[in-house]
Amino acid sequence: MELRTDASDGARLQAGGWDAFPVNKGALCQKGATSTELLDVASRLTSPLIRRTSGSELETATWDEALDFAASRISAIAAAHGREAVGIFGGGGLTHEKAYSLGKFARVVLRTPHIDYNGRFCMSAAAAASQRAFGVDRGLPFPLADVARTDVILLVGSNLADTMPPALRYFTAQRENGGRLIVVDPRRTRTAEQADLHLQPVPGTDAALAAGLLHVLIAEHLVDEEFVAARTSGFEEVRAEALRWWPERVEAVCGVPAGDVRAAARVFAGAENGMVLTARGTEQQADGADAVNAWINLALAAGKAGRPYCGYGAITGQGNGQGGREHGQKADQLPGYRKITDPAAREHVAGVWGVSPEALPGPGRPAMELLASCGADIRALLVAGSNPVVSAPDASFVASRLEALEFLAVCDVVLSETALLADVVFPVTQWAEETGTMTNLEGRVLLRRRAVTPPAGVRSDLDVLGGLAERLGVPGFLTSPAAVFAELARASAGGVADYSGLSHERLDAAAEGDGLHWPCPAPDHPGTPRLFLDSFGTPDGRARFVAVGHEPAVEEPCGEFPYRLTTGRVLAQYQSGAQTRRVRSLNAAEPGAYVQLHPDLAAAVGAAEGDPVRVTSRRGSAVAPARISELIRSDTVFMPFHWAGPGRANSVTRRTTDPVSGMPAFKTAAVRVEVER
Amino acid sequence: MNARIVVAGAGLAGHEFVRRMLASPGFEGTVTWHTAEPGRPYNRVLLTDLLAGRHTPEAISLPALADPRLTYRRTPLGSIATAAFDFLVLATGADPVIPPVRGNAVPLRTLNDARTILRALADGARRVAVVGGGPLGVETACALARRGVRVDLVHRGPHLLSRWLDAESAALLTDSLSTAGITVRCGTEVSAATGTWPTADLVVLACGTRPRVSLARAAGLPFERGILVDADGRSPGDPRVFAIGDCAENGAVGAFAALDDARRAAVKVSELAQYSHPSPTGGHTTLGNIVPVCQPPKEVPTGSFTRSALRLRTYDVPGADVAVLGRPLADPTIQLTDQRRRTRKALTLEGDAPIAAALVGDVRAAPALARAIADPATPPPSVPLALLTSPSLRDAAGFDRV
Repeated sequence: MELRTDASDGARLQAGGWDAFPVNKGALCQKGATSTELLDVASRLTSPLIRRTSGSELETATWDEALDFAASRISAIAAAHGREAVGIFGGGGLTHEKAYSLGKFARVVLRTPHIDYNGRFCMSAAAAASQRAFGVDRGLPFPLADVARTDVILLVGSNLADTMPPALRYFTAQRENGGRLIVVDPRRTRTAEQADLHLQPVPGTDAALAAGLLHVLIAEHLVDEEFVAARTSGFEEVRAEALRWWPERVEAVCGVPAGDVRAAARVFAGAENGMVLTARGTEQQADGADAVNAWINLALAAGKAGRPYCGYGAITGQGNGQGGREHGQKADQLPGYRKITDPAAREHVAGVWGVSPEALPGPGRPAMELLASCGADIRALLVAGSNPVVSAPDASFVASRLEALEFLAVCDVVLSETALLADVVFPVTQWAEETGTMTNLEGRVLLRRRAVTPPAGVRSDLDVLGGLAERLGVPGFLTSPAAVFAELARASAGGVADYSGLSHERLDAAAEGDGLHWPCPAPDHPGTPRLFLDSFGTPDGRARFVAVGHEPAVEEPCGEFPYRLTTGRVLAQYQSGAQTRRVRSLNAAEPGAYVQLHPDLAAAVGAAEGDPVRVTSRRGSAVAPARISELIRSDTVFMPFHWAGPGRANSVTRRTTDPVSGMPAFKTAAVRVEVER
Repeated sequence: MNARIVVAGAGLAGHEFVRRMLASPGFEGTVTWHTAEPGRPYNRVLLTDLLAGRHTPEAISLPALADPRLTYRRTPLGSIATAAFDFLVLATGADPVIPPVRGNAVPLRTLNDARTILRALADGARRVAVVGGGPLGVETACALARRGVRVDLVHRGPHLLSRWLDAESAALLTDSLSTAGITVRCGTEVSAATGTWPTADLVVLACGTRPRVSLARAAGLPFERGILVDADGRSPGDPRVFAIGDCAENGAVGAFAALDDARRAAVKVSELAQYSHPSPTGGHTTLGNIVPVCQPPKEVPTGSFTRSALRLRTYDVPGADVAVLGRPLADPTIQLTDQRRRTRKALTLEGDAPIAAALVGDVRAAPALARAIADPATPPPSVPLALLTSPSLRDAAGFDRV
């Protein structure tokens, strides 16, 4: 994206496509095209806010006041209850510099193990599955443009036509090149509408569906035995498990006709090249990591990995969704995608940070556990780049935990629903006002240059951390993005996500090139656009089949809550909507939450188009207007999750998490549906 | 408590039960798993796949269950009468019904049976008679036809799948099978004794099964055709004894029912194992020394929530797909027949609620019908006809043929 000032419109800043950019070739979605509106929304925060005493209003304060207040509260709580009583909750939309600094701030300044972030709600299941299968988690192991050149795509649980419009061009091109698209989604979305074959499973049954496709490969001798023998391990156990899932059984469990299971398997296995791409639909489940591994098993058995135009990838959701999980913002992780429990990793990173390895805390709690322990043993929390009161599951519960904290500090650009609960709010810079790096879903590291001067009174999150560090007795915390990145690069050296050959200067010079995909371990290294061509990232270089079963969703529908709720996004809004709800044209396009339901269900509950419909689970309820549509199963309702207030879908979702990845099971909740009279 | 659980039988039901038991949180007891069949437990559903040439016999083993709490024993079933247990799960399956036969006849019930058939085919059997026009007979005929064998399908009933389909549906199916090289003869009683034995290189018997109830009978536990159980799979004669799968009588049959039975029984046994106390007889309860309270339930529960009453596996034989859902079809309310394509879809409504359906030749509507019929939460369709035409599902046929 390029920013220009339009002469005919005074000095007003306009966002435009950058045609030479290799990822989107200049295409922007409506959110990108309107993003400059965010730079001067009326509700932009330009002064720190303090709640001087509990129960009082937030009042404006000076930066020194706010930083002093926050530092003294954090010190007092750490002194009284131990360092582990302080936690950090970050965001996948933060730049590398900020995400890395949050991790370092937690381990070096606060010396608490408790840091995690909202990426746990987004990418963690795919990340855990990729690690298990490939030893490496990079969203796509190939450039996005490769999608256009593969023969068949199995796209699972992604409505990218609405959620990632600029990527759609590659899927369209793929079909124009004679390729085929198979979409797995309980809803007939705009994306599913374009598919050659749409499999519409019961939400939460993906692992069984994937096993069914694998069953067909085995039964019909379509397994690439040569690839399996040469480049993988663990197939025998997976084969035995898959044989329990014959297509007619899959039909009974998943609701997908057995003939479609066979058709999908034959087309996928029969093609020369193929890709399996997953997104939140399959990942945000109580068995999210297992379900993703079931899809990866299918790709491996078909021999569709570790070769050009083949492979498994996860379609990421946030701006820096990939990078945000690489450099220490996760509870169990140090920079460079290193494990915090690995002694060698601890020693290396401690060396870069100038502390002793013993001083580094161990692993903390994954996001949902971290939020759930707020108000219990976590008594102070710093939130940056996240709005969990809207975006976390079982949101009323999460709000109650944040309210129970002794101290909450929030860094944000607007007064989000989470910031409203805070004791201190720091107004921070946003995208065009700061220089920083991000890594996109392809593992491509990008430099975003500062384009405009931030409003007076606004500082970077890096300045907030620097100011707090100094007051907490650790002076010299880096606040210049280029310097932070240089340190990050050193800290990542030798890790899985090795950035040590990168710097702001190099990224600036190479910005139009194609080569700066990690790992990039030396200044003259060209980067790695395609992973795994020779070897996978596991110790023996083989991709691992992971034997997974399928258990029914933890919360099966029952008499009181007979239907399923699934959630997702709409075209014109983003994440918790804190930003997009404040952009006029986006809000006009999609002004509020809604409940999508099938005409038969609408008739059964007596709902007409537009009627307020209450969706209730064991956690709570949400009310939004009915949108009646044949595009959804009649036993399932859909709500987008971008809104706060009565239409907050996450009041209904459950906080049960996947035991492997900590991913909450957003996508399946048992609910009842009533018209609000 | 450290419950000792004894499981008899290693078919789908037994395997599923053991798998779930070992996976149930906090289970600290032991499982002793007896089977009379040699070799590793295998997936019986795939026996016809073997005939179709899809797998080798070794490949249909069920996933190995290695666990320190599990002991696997190959024992004659009779010896289980002396095994001490806190909970006993009978998953002994069913025996094939064998009419008076001549030497070249073999049932298809075990892996050994399948091996025998495969050997005969390898030795040059070109013409095979399948006796029995029920689900197994039709599936077997299709599997054999798929590998190029000439098949005579002989059925004593008035038409194929006579317990499941009406005559019109069966006639369409018969036509489709004939086109695939399967000769169908109905109304023909086959017996070596009466001289109506088919001329064939090999005769495969698919004449139905009879639940194995000998253990229950010997112990005095109530049984009729199968072992009587309640909705959890417990015998009304002794609350420590369960029966699951084909040996149990709970109103449902087949693999889906077996898996459902196993799941429910595992849930119940885990719950009981957690809260029960060591047995009053000092922990030496065996089938031989239990004293059943013979109070059979007033009515056999319709039990299993089966989404699909019958779902044939017909190996891409064109037109041979069959799905029957819900209660046996009586007086269809809506019928769609396409004589040219040999498809028929019939739906019975009670008021507006769909209660039964049968599909022949085109079964894409089966999942939607299964939900509408069996899942009480599915809202009734505003246009029941739409259930048969599934407008929201894209037709995958064109995709399939490419």
